[in-house]
Amino acid sequence: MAVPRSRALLAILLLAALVLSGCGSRPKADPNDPLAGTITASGSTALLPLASLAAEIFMEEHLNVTVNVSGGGSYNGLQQVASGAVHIGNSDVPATGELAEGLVEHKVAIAPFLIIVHPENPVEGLTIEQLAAILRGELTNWREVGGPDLEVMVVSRQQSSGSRATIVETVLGGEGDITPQALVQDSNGKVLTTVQYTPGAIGYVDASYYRPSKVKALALDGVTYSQEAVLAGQWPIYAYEYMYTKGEPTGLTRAFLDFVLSPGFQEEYVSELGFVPITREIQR
Amino acid sequence: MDRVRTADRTARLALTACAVLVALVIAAILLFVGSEGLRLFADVSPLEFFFSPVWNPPLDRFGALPFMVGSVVVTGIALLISAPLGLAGAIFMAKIAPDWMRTVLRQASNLFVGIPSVVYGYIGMTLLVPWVREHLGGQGFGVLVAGLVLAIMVMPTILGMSEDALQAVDPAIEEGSLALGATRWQTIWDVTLPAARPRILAAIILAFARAFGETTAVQMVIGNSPVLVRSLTTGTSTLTSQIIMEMGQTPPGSPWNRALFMMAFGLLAVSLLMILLVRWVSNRGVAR
Repeated sequence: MAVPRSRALLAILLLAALVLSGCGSRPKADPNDPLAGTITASGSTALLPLASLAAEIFMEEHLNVTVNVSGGGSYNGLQQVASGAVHIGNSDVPATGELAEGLVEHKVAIAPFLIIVHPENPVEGLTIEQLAAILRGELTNWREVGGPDLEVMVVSRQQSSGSRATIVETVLGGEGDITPQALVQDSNGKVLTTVQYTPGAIGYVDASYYRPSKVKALALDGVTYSQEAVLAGQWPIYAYEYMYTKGEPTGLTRAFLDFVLSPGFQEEYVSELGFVPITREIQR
Repeated sequence: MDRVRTADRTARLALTACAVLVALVIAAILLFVGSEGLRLFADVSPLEFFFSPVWNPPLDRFGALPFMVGSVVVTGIALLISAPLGLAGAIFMAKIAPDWMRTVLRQASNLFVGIPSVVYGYIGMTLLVPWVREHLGGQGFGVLVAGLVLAIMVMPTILGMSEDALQAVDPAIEEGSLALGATRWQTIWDVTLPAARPRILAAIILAFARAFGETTAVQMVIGNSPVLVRSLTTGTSTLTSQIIMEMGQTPPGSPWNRALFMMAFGLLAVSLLMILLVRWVSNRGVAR
């Protein structure tokens, strides 16, 4: 075309140089660091941002170590760690039944959930009983909880979702199920978008996915969400995030878990990602 | 001479190997999906799977009826809209439009084929769903929007293949009809269309198969509620959308996972059936 071939070649070479220069940024191995090797972790996508960040910082501190983290879902994580395919299985749900045999659980963070509605919904809060009735499909109009004459549209997650399990357990008290008529989306992000654009919609998301500019979070039993409210034991909906190992962790895996649980990492990074540090106690 | 023969033989061997490999891969998929799926019936009765409307795997309820009905209804709506429109468009393009317009229209309809399904789904979700909710009520998500999106997606298939079918009709019989005093409309309706019927039917069947198997676009606008269709504008689910929603997070080897495999096997069976049907229909056309 119009561009002379030599100039095109130059552009390609420059681009290649840029790309390749990225590869060299990691300094050389440190002979004095006893920690070396590779560990892999997989599982929960809710926990993925936290696990990836931990891996990144850990690798910066220990140059001879590689930590590979991938998603795939909680069940996959549990399955893979149980079969020995990975060193750490990330999960939002505790392992149960056969899967739990031989697995050691490590709680690494507290994940609060928020109840979100369309930004123009005038309702500010619900009691847990009202919320449960709405999710079960017993209350179908916002009028019944002091809102406008508008049909309720529940937006839920698929039955294999750990978030859904948490809501069923904490809000419904394990009794009954979220109405099958509810719309179902397969990720936190999609629930948020659906609620954002649908008047009358109500849904639940991990606190780390909540965006105040897009949706409105409801107060529950008169409590507005905050980390402090979670720690004071006033916020009713939260779950633990787990990292599972097969047997007691040793060596590198142990070191990585210790790092994730260290006050330094917990205080500095965990709350930044929307979780509550596990190092703080929830008042009961 | 010898060298030529060796090269010849090697090439033939390589090509045969490729063909065998393709056949093996298809057989392997069928075998794997089928064996995983059919093992479901060790835990769940086929009666429940095919006829129960209750899908609640954590409580061991594996009724896949809502998804089968959902798939059929969505595909039906899509074809009800796209078949008449596509066929009318094909008649216009093949028999009425001037040459330059035909070229333009053909290019335009080919463009549709290249659009990724997630784009169709996204447009459906952000434009059609709110529009339907405001004007027709309900949740907006549902079989109506899914059917509309699919109708647009399969239209080029029907349009293109039907146009080819109409073009392929022997001009001699059309000229004969005109010479006998039939009008242009009578000729198209009574002569051209019946002559092209087998291939038009084949086009519609292929469109059915495409709509039935479409996943992403449907999943984005159907609502994914695992319940039987209640109305045009409330959430339900289809075989494909349910599989994509749950496949990644169900433990392999569990009845839940196998139920999803069984649904996939059903999809596979339907599309194979459609291909056989297309062949049967076209062969019948040749014989007449």
